[in-house]
Amino acid sequence: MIKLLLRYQLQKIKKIFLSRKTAKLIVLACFIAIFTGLGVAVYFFFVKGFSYIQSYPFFAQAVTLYSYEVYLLFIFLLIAISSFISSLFSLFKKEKNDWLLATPSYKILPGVVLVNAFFASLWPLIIIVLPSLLAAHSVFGLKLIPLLVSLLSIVFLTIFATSLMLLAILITGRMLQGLSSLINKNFLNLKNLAICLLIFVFFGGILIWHQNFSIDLISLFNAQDLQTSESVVSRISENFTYSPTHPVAKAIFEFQAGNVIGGYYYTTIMFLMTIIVLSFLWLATEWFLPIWQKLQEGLFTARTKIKNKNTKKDSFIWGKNVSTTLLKKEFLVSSRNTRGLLWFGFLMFIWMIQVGVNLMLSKNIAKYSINIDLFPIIAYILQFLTGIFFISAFVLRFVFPCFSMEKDTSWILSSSPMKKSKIFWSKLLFYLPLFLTIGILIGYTNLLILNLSLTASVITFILFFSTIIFIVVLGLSLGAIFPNFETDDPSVLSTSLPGIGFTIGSLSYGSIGAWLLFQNLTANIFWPICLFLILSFIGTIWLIYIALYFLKHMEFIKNKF
Amino acid sequence: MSAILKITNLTKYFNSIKAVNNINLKIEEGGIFSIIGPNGSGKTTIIKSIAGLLRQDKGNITINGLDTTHHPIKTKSNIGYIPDKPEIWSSITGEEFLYLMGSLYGMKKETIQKNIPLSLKIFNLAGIEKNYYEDYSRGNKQKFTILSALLHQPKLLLVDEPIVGLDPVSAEIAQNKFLNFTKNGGAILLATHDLSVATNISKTIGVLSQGKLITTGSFKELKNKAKLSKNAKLKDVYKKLT
Repeated sequence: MIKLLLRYQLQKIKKIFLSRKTAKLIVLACFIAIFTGLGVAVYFFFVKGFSYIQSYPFFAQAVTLYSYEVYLLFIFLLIAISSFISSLFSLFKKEKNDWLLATPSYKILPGVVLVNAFFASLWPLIIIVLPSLLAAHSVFGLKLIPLLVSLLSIVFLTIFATSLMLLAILITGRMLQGLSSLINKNFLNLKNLAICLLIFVFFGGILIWHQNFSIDLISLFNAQDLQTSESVVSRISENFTYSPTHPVAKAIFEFQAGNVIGGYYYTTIMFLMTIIVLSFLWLATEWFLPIWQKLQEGLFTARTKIKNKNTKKDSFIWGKNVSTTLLKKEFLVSSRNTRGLLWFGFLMFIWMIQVGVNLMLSKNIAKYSINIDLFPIIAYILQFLTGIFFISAFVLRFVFPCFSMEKDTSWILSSSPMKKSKIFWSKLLFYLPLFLTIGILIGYTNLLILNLSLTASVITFILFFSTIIFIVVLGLSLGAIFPNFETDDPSVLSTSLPGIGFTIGSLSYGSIGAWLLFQNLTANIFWPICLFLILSFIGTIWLIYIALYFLKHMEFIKNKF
Repeated sequence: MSAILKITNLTKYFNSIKAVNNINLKIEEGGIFSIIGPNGSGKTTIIKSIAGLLRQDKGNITINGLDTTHHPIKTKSNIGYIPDKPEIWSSITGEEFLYLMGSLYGMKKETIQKNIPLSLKIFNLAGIEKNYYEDYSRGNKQKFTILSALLHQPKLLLVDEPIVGLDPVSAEIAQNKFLNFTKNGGAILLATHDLSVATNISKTIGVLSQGKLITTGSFKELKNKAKLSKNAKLKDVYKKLT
């Protein structure tokens, strides 16, 4: 069975290259180029960072350990949450798994989902972890075997994170099922399961935050007493003792410090933790089939007399005209899309981590009256770029695929008596205010720790807003110009050639904006920003015009690129 | 009687493949035209071209005398479309779907509110209209799409596989509803594999093969063309002609 499934996965990859081979090879080449570029950038970033840390002998060891702990915890959270969302829907929502669940080998599905989640989580290893370990090799002299063992410990951590989330899903499902039997009322459905798991993730996040980050950095590093450097490392180590990533951080740290036995010791701990979680997961697969069966049940509607349990007073009242009806439809479909909302929450969660770091820094700055002017202008630019990155990620996940996601329902809108341009405007009117609101939040919180003058703040905000408008229009227009009706999976759509085009386009555009902001803040040059705003306006209008032209001639069939 | 649907030289290519080849047909008020043919013969492509989901490469389609290419909004207002796959957004309710369709076809809110309960009675769907679409069975999904196509009282009904997934009683109700629709002056173009439906309700049957309408006529005329006995069934005609 495993061989068959592996062969099936290979066939799927082969099938991708059967049609539109050139386009897909270009996509692959672009991916490799982007991944390599990012990897190289991450490598140099870490080389620079590690060298900087090393130039301060008093802090070198403590800051290195602290960086590893925080950095690995961040990667762990990324892997765990993305695995949670993808696994939840892969386990219970995909109708194409029916055939597998009808066979005696049904228990293999959690294993297949685990393997898929693991491979999907490998990208942080390739883009972020490997370059950072190579940087540690260059700067700290981390030797080859310890480097490989460190990498192995991070692979264990990835398996640990993905299997932990699968285990959490099965345990929660089992608990809801038990509760349902106990009080004779069904609580087990996908919505309740997602809510319970979100509560679990939320409180887990708070616990991790409280345990590791609600701290006074100055006290933690003992920065006010430069005579006692020895105890700082152990204090940081103690601070992260209960973090699931602590053994990996310690393994790398010990290897780096030349303590090979210590490194192997912590790698073994990580390995044992992984084995324990995998064992529990294996035991929990017993619960999988009953949970799956319950979650496949629809509402029993064969009876002629059914008591309507829906207590809603009225159905959603549609708009007075076609445009408002379409706008309300966007709101309704988006607000009831559990998977979309979970991904939205995931992106917001990552952003909140950044906000949390900002708040922690501002708290420490305020407490110790640190001169804010010490913050270089590049920090402002980085904040601006981070905001653009988040908006691009949101647009790539939600706005860009929104035309292609109408794949199966396109008959409704395209057979209705209305101009197709109305579909475009309704989507724009739905997404633009939403992302401008998120933009205000991001912009405001990013400026919290920056001591910008009123003029500079206004310029930053105007630039940020115009960039958001351009990026939303760019995503929506590219989605309308290049609809892909072969799939309605946003993660697949985002990695198509137009999706990559959007990523490159939006990030390049944001980078130009950031560079102009830098010029303005350092040399007080204003006219390039004005030119940028005018060109953005023209570009936005042009994109809308082109998108509407393509939409007018769009056919809702597969194999259209 | 005036022609509600008139197709002239309709041709559609998918890349180099001629999916629909020079089709000509006409349906008048009260007419039901069934297209039968093997898988991939072009039935759905014809229906989708009329509904405006595909753009023809050659030929004209007129509805009530108006060309669909030049007057897409006016012509679509007169069409009710029932697709082969009754897929809609999974997280809206059946009732919301009917509201949405009524609004998209320019119906007044009061009219929609008045018509929905009457529509729900047709298939005995009252009581489940506030459930999410993803919770419906295949048959109930199909029933809601049939109701949505009839809600705005179109002139032409385009039906792609009308009774797939319907239980026998509901299938009979659907067929009766189609017959009543034509009695009130409507016209139906129906694409189906179910030969019993074509025999029961169609006045004209067209046999499609590799994108070409190879013959049209009443069931009796088709039997004559196929040189089959009076007792022959449509299945025999179909086998002989395709």
